[in-house]
Amino acid sequence: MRTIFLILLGSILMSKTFSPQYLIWVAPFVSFLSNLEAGLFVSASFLTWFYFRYWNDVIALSPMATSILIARNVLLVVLLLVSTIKLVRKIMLK
Amino acid sequence: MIEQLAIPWGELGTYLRYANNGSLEYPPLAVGLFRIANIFGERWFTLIWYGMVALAILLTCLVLKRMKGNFYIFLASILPLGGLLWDRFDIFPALITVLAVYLATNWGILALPVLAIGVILKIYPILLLPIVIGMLIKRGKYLGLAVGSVAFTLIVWLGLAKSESVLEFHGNRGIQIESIRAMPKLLDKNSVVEFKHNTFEIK
Repeated sequence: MRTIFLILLGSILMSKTFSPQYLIWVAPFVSFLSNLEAGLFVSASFLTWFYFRYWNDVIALSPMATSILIARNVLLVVLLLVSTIKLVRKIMLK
Repeated sequence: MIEQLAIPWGELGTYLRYANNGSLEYPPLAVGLFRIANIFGERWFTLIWYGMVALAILLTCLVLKRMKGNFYIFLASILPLGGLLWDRFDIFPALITVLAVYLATNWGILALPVLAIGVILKIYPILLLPIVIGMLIKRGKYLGLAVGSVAFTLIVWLGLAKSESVLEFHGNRGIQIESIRAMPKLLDKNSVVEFKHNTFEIK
């Protein structure tokens, strides 16, 4: 399940398009991950809702609003790295 | 008052328009979902749509429970999204995708046809094709693989036969403001945001 999660999240993060609802594609597979990974993902969901509340400021490139968006994206990149490390460690243990 | 609330607006207004006129943005099966919500007319569209989304969430939870996943985490992941969950149709391909993965471990013969339905709904489930094939091979479900491959090809071919415009639409999209690639541009004072392809792109 972690492999599926990584394929979907990696594709979203590498794409030139990333609509906020794309997180829903990955969400079912988060339920098979560790508490740390789930916590990171839920936090990213909250930040998505949060920056979307200030959408007009985001498209006006206001530093405050864009910093929330950047924080969400950084969180997702960290999640991708953590999950990749966990998968690699699992494979090496086998 | 209730009737006023029921009139679709925002993204649901766009879906209602697609239900009536078709869409360049979404494949035909997605437009079919919009037409189901519009079956009793626009006054009922919002209510039926929210009922469909609630049903999809419930079914996803049931599938996750059967797969021994923690569906509370799934709910905690999607509910904070609020309107981005309820006013978008992405929960439907998510349900279909997780169902295809479940079927690959249990009812192998249905896994690839169900994944194909996901592909003609939102394209992205095609990313899981190698994984589902690998799961079927690992479990020795060769009949499911053979029959499923034929069904997958037919469903995707027929479902996307007239969807060149959808692929062209997405191919022409620029860098969306929320993408990872947009992050350096978000910090650049000379960046420009413009509304194109039904979204905000940054240059």
